[in-house]
Amino acid sequence: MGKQSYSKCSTIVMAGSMAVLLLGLTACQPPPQRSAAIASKVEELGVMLDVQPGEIRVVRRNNLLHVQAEVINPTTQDQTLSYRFRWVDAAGFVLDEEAWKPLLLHGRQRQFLRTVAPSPKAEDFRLEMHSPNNAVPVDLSANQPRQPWGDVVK
Amino acid sequence: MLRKNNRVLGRVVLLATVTVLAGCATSSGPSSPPLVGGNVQYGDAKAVETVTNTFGSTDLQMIAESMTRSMLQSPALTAGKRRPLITVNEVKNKTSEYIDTRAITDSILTQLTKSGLVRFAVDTADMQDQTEELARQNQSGLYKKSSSKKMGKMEGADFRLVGSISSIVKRTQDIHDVYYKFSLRLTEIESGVVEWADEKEIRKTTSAR
Repeated sequence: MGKQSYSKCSTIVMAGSMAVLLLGLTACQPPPQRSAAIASKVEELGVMLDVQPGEIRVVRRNNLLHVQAEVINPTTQDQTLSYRFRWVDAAGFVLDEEAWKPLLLHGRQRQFLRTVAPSPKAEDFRLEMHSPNNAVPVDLSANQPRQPWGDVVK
Repeated sequence: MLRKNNRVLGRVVLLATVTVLAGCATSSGPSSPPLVGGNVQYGDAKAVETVTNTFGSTDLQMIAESMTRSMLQSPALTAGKRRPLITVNEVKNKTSEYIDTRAITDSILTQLTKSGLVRFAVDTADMQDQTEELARQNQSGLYKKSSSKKMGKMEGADFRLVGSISSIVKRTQDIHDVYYKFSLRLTEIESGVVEWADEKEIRKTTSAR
């Protein structure tokens, strides 16, 4: 009985250690590295580990910049995301600030953020993203190689 | 000699006192600490607001932005050579809560005006002020004829903007779900044809758990 209880206890300890190790590994999981084209357009407030920016398409129609940006939730759980576009004119000046918009991404869902520039003066843009539940501070994410996602298509 | 020295010393002391006081007066200006009381702090006016699930600032901002961007893509507004003239009619509030729909249309008007692609004619809400100003310039006898704006020169709008906001509310013991639908239509005044229409849907759910 004593031997059995010792064995049960050691199993629990081992399982606990494995869980701690797994948690530790998850915490140390290298943050995703974006392709240079995506990175130049996407600004994350803390690097997102679960929600990923995908392909970005940009086209000018009727003198207005149209943008379609893909966001992917590769996890099986719902993820929340806040985003906004920042529009820049030819001289690099930021046009009016947009409001942050909330977005719910279901598990395994890919969604497209589609928008059009507020004025013909907009020549470029940045996509600001913030996923409060799965972000890590930027300084922890430096120089961590990982598979790049998507590309900017013009 | 001693009296002269005392006089010089007195002047030096007076000058020093004035300098110190002046220095104090200057330092209490820009570097004075801010007045702080209680837990007041400034927040981000553009942040996602989820304090309650009643209609909030984020809903207003999202609706205005979504409608503006959609309207800017309408060929009715961008195809012609002349910037079209729009007037804002009423946006009906069909929800069970108080919503300042004028704040939504004001935001839409501001954003569309800033785009530089459309112009807005004075709407029914501002018409009283507009006619009073014209009447004052022309009938009060106070203004020079050369600078007073003439009667009968106002431009009629090409389009009118009309809309509504409605909601569906579902509530259980644990969950409070609100669905908002904001609809907006742009109608050509002369022909009565609806040239553009769009909707923005918002769902907000509060869970007690």
